[in-house]
Amino acid sequence: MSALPPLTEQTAALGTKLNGYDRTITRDNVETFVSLTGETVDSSLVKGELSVPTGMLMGLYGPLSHGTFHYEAGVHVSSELELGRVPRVDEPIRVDGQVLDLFEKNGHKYVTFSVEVSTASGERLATVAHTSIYALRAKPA
Amino acid sequence: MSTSQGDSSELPSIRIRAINSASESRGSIHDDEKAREMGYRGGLVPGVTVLGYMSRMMREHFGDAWTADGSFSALIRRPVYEGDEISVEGRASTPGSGDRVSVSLRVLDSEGSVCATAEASCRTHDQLSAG
Repeated sequence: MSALPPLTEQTAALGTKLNGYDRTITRDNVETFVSLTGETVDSSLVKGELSVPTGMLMGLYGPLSHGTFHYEAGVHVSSELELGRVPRVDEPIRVDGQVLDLFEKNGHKYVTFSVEVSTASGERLATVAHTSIYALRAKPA
Repeated sequence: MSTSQGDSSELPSIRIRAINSASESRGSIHDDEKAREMGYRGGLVPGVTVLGYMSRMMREHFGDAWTADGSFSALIRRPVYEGDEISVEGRASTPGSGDRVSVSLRVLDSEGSVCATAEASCRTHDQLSAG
């Protein structure tokens, strides 16, 4: 059993802060990601410096949401990304977020998180609005 | 950009064989057993990977202009499964003053079904050079 609370309308009221975390994305992390998208590591060179692929930024919600709530079968629905600058590999970053929206559609329950990625000194790098289904509608009996 | 049609251009498509990197995540939607229990054909390829197919296209075509101040709004419409042969398509246009390029992107499975779509934009290379 998880010690975290389940994600519900009560625990995830609008504005609820998510448990932020610090992270440093390594070359190994980038190699793993680009192997899935069919890119090479060199494609992540920005002005000669190895940088974090923009696609990876849309996955940073994971440790935020799963470090705050317990829910097993989240289904990723949408992401809205605004880039300021991509972080460099080995550059410490901070990821914070909060609950932006909760809604129900066609029997599924959705949550939207706002995610802010910044440098350790507070420079904003990117924001992501991430929406997932956190509770699929019950199957008919 | 490869082919032009009016004021928009089709970007060369990308083909990728989908990999479910999270299949070992027991009890998640990426786990075959759990996903089947929930009515899917098998474990879902993580959405971040699917969106990564489209952000790859932006990076390949717009380079540092994309990473400098790009915006990207994507919707996942259908599941992508391990081993699916995926193609990524994009069409670019420069509406308005022409200082930004807008790109409509989509991810299709081998049957031609649209699995994900996105609208992306970034400054044009000329604007980036001008600072």
